[in-house]
Formats: sequence, C-alpha cells, structure tokens
Amino acid sequence: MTLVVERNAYHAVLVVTGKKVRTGSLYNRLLRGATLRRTRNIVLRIYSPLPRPKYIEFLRDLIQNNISHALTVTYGGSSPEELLLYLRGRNDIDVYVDDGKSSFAEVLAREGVKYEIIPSLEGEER
Amino acid sequence: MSDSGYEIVITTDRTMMSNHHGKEFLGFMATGPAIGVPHWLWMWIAAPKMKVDSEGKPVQAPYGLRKVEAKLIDDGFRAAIIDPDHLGKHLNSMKVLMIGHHDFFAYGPPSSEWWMVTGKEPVNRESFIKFMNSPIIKKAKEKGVRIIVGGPAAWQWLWELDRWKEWGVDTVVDGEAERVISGLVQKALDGEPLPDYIYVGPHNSPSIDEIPVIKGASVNGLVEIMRGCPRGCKFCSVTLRPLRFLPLDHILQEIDVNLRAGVKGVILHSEDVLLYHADGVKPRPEPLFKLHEAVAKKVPGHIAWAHASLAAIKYAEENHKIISKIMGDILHEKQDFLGVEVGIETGSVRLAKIIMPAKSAPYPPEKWPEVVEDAFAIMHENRIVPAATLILGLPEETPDDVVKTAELLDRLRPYRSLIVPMFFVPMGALKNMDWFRRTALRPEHIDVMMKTLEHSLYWAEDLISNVYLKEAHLAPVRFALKLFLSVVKKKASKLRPLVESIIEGKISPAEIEKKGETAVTA
Ligand code: SF4
Repeated sequence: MTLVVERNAYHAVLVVTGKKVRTGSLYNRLLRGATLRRTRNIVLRIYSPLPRPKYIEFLRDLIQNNISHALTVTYGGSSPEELLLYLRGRNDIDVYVDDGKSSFAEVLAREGVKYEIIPSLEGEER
Repeated sequence: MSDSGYEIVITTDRTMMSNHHGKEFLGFMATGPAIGVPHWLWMWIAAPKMKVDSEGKPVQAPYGLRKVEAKLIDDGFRAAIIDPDHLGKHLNSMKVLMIGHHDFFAYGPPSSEWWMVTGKEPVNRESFIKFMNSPIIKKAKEKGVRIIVGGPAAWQWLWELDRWKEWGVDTVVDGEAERVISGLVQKALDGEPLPDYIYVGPHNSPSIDEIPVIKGASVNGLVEIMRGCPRGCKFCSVTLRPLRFLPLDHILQEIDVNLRAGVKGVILHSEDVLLYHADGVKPRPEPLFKLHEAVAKKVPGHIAWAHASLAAIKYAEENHKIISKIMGDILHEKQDFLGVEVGIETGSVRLAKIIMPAKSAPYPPEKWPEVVEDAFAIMHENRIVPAATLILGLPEETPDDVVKTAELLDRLRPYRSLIVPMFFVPMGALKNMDWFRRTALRPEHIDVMMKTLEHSLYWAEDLISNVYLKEAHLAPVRFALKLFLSVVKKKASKLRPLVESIIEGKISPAEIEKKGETAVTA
C-alpha cells in the first residue's frame, strides 16, 4: 500500500555513516529533485550501519528545517549489498552519500552506480 | 480479561487523559514539577483520572485523539480510545497502539521553562516516561503490537532516539494526519514495513470534507472551528497550510457529541478564534456573531476560546464592537467571564519586528506594545480573562528588549490576567539545564520573571475565588490551589530582596545557584 505522502514522490536514497554533512546542501538537492519531478512529496530511504532509529540523529536538522514538503523517512538496511539489491532495476533513484570514503561509496563506485557526496561539515564546526 | 475486538487502540498518558476537573487551565500544572505540595496532590489537581466505561473508554479524551479515532472508524477500522489504566483489557485484540501527546518529553513551552527554572522534571514528562515503561507497553510490544506516535510534539522524538528504540516505537507522524493515518494503520495491520518518520506536507492537509466529526466527547468540550492561520509568519508550518473554516453545522454536530456525553461547555479552538471567516487578518462581525449565537443557544455551559491574537481583539472591538457585543449581548446571561490564551511574547518593538512582524497586523509592528495594552484593556472591560505568554531568551534578544517587556508588564498590572514567561531553551541546552540556567539567565530576565509571578499571584487569588473555581464541588481543588498559592507567595516575597540585589548588580544569578537556590522557586 502506498501512503498519500509517498504518491508520485521524489524517491532518493541517503547513506548515513555518521559523518556530519551540510544539511542545507542535502535539503537543496532534495528540493531540486522534487521540483524536477513536479512533486512536493519526498521519500528518503536510508541505508546506514547505524541502528534504527539512531541514524536520525544525523537527519534532525533536515527534518526540523523542512516545513514545505512531505517527508517520509524509511530505513532500507545496514549494508552496501542491501542497497545494491534495492537499486537493481531502479534507475530513477538519486543516491546521496555522506562520506565518499565509506564502504558504501566504494561498492557503489565499483558497481557503476552514480551517486552524489553531500559536502561535509567537518572542519567547519566550531 | 475482556476482548473487545479493538485492533487499533489509541491512548496517551494520564496528564493528557484528564479533563483537569473541567478547568482547562489546571492542566497547565501538569507542565511543571510539583511545587510546595506533595507530588500526588499536584497530580490530582492537574490531572485527575477520567471516568471510563466498562471497556476503559474515557468519557472525554483529547481532541486530537478523537479526530484520529473518528477517521479510523469512518474508514472501517475497529478503533477506540482507551484510558491508559485500561489497556490490559485490549491486549488480546490490539494490533496497533497509537499514542498522541502535546508534549511527550516536556520539551515544549511552558514545560521546558518550568524545568529550566526549577531544575526539576515536569510531571508530564515523568508521567509519560512511566507510562511507556509500564509492563503493559512491554507486553504489547512482545506480542508484536506496532506502535505509532504523533501529535504536535512529534518532533520531540527526534531528541529521544534511545527511548524511541527502547520502547519499540515504529513510526512517528508529524502534521495533520487525516489523509495518512488509515493507510499507515493498514500497512501496520498487513505487517508491511513502516516508515520511521512521516512529516505530512501542507499540500497533504485534508479538505473540509475529509475532516471527520468526532465520535466521542473531547476534553472540556473543545471543538475546532478552523485550521490554518493567515498571518504568514516565517518558519511557521501552520501558515503554509490552507486556511479552512469548519462549517457551522460541523461545529454544532461536534458540540452535540459532547452534550450527549454530558460535557456542557465549549472551547472554540483555532489559532485565532476571531479570524473565523475573517477578511484576511481583519475580523468580520457577522460570522463571529452567528457562531457565538448558535453555540450559546446550544450549550448550557460556558464558552471559552482556545487562542486569540491581541491584534484581532483590538481590531474587532475598535472597528465593529465585536467583543462587547459577544460578551455583552450574546453571552451576557450565560457567563460572567470568558477565558482565552493570548501571546504577548515581547514588549520590544525591535524584537517584535524580528520574530513576529505579522503578529500585530493589521497594525504595524511599531504599535505592538500599544496593541497589547489596548487589547488587555478591552478584555478587562469585557470580562475576558487572558492567560498570556511572554518569550524570554531568544537569540536575537538584547537586555534593552527585556527591559521594554518589563515596562509593558508594569502597564498591564491593572488588567485581570495571568502572564506566564516562557524561556527560549535551545534543544541542546535541555540536556544540561544547570549550565543553561547559570549562563543564559540574566538579571533582566529574573526581573521579568518576578514581575510575571507577582502579576499572576496578584490576580490568581481573585480568579480562583471569584471567577474560575466558584462551584461548590471544586472546593477541595480551590483549597489545594490556595495552599499552593500561599506557599508561592511566601517564597516570592522572600525572593524580592534577592532579585533587587541581582538587578542592582550586587549579586549574580550564578552566585545564587552556587548557594544552592533556584532562581524563582527558591
Ligand atoms: S500567528 Fe502563529 S500560527 Fe499564525 S502564522 Fe504566525 S506563528 Fe504561525
């Protein structure tokens, strides 16, 4: 069953390994993706070695700063293999990763899956 | 153990599942810790148990829960609101447990302020955590019951991830739920994976036709008259949602539901009651008169307003005499007073321009202090008793802004009202309240807090004896509250010299902390 907030949604995958990223950058990418698909529903599927719902710590700002779009956050799995399995046959999913050096990024690169790295906050925090 | 067959059980903790002796304002005591009286007495004043039927269904329940219940029943689910003490009766049939709250973890106002000022956890937080740790929740989880939580405080779960995990919460829902809830519950019943978090966007807001009529009575007869807000403040999700006015017929149907359950009064709920069918932010007389006349004709009890803006009060009276006509003509024989929550927030024009430029509309923000004073005078003359809020400690605030607020408070002294300061507490600081108290509280804040305490104490006794708790059956509550007030008064008078020393710079708030005294409760 598809929820109203998931209908005609912009679907994206976010890999959360625990690196702090620039929330604004990620949010802008999600809004751009949604706008291109003429929708205000965003479904963000998370792959993370962090347990559920611990990974949300890294999405707090994103969730709290968004008031204009529907946002559904779903947990997909903890390993790159699960992510690959999900992406198989799905060419229209944008993939974002928080750490370009993570095992997820390595596997995605090896398999030729396109992804974007969200700029890190590291070194910018006080 | 009876098996009612309710697959979906909707509930909340005791501080929410109560009608607060029929006096909404007593519910605010649940947002603070027990002060001056034993914990059990505090809980009894703030949140006495609700009457329930043989299945544990409460006679009255929070309005938000009633809406969810109504939507699910209309969509064919076997759903019911059950009092938290009676969940065990439904363990066999329960497949989904839905829990709503206004302030799950006391991170919202005014709970977080109480917490910060007193250094003690508010009773609503204690009560909710105790409820979630209760054996019945554990048993439900062991049985595979799926837990969905939501309501205006859904965001607080983002800061309680360990508890979210520990209690096995499946999904957190934030926003107007009507269009989402049945699909989500169906997914849960079908054993499908559930999303962790859903924020329902403004475009997913239900239309008037999709908003159900409640099936059981709401706490103290609260019924909503509109959704949305036209003021357009920045960062406000309410204003992005479409403005919807519930038709009079819908409102009266809900009042009928309450009357059938013996709830004789009504609280008209809206972000701003006076904007019911308004022309933008300008109240219009006809719809307001029609609404109040129809409601007054129907209910034998009192009418109250959930919220109204001070700008709308001033505009309504000065342009159309709406306030005096409602209070003087329509409600005159029915009631001596009308209660409402209003937001002053600041006495500083500079700060008002930054944090709430649209709040004074249709008047310019430069006139904000004048709008507040005029609205208070209008309410006083017309026997409307406001419970007003102030916000202290905003990041943009300067000491001069706080002084302006203190000056405004002095000018509001002659007007019958309760004024509650709320402290802007960044979420990070909630983990370390002592540090926050020591670093963020400035002498001017303490002065304003003392002024609000003195103002509210000055009027509270009058309100308790002559306005709110006159009924004979409320004598024990009246007595307990007077006891509480006398304790607070005594402490406040002892504090005054200390506060004078702080303001004159002879002693700092941090030094008081070191002496082991808390800033206001001492
Ligand atoms: S007045 Fe309140 S509800 Fe209305 S837009 Fe401003 S913040 Fe939102």
